[in-house]
Amino acid sequence: MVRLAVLPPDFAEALRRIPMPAFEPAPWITPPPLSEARVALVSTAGIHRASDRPFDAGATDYRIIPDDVAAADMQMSHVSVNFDRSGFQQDVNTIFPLELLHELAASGEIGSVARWHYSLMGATDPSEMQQSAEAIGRLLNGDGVTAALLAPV
Amino acid sequence: MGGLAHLLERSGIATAYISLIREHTEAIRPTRALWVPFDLGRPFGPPHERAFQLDVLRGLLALFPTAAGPTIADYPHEAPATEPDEGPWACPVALPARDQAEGWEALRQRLLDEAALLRPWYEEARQERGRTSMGVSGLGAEEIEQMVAVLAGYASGEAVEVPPKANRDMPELAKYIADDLKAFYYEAATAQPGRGSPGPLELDRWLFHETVLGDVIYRIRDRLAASSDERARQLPIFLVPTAFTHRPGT
Repeated sequence: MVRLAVLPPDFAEALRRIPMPAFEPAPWITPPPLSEARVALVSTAGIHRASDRPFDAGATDYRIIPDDVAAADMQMSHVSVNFDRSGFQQDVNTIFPLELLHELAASGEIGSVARWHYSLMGATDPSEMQQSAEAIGRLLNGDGVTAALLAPV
Repeated sequence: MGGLAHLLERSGIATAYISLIREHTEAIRPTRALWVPFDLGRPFGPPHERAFQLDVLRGLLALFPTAAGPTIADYPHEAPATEPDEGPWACPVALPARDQAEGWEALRQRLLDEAALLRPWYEEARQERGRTSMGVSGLGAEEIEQMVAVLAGYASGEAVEVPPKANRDMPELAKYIADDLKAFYYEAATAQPGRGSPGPLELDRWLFHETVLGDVIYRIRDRLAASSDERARQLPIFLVPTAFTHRPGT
């Protein structure tokens, strides 16, 4: 239902006014076949383990989410109030489908699931996340990840 | 999201991502994007729609073998509706009407009364789901009296005592306690039997237009906006959704 035309006018206008930074495309990457891919999730929903530090307004840092994290251990401290949290409250797969990704690995549709996944807070200008993105890139490479699935909130 | 994808691709990681706002994705020139026509906050679809969520996930993964260059694909299905034939959602628990109670003690008591009415459903939700999303302020449902005291106190212009387990100071603490109490209300509201799970706008409309908590959050928002503290003046946009900026009756 996120078609700007159907949102409340003030909210749609606020979304239209968000500046989008320009990025020069990187060289195109052709990943291995899905049946051989090692897949990680990267969320900008501001989620983290309950024992981890909550995100602050303007945060540009990231949190690691171990692959064996329990749904009961997941919290969301995203600063924005302009998106639904009730889906996450009822079912983590709504924003972070780790359990479903494992189902696809078990059936052979993907090769494997990464040992670690990552979370940032998407309210921040992505051009300010460069340092975190570079660190996450190094960590994904170290984990042998070939494909990252990114999800906003 | 698209910006982060570009940054990760520079590290040699192939990326595919969910796009919730197509206009943003078009502007940022994507790597591989799957635009989905779902509510903000639900990138893989509604809760407890496992087959649907799996289909979205497969649609996203399918971009890796099929996209030969920058791509925005449109996911072809709308999110399953929540029993629209049964009409608008209404909270089955009858809450006391909001009035113009002044004074922090009256406000505190009304908020405590309201939370007490919702608590059995919060506990049902917590037991059934095996989890709660409360806790971002450092406080949980066991500290609800302290949380209510902070919000009612700040809303009434009283000095506020920061609870020992709180993980932030005022005024930021007020925002995160508001988020935790909203979680308490929404987890309770979505646990009740009846017409399916309420949609996001229905929940926000209920909370901000009908509950004492919504009234208290508006009062806090207005106090923060009028504060001489610059930190406080940055917080109002993080209290009330843009779609509910205008208080009912104003």
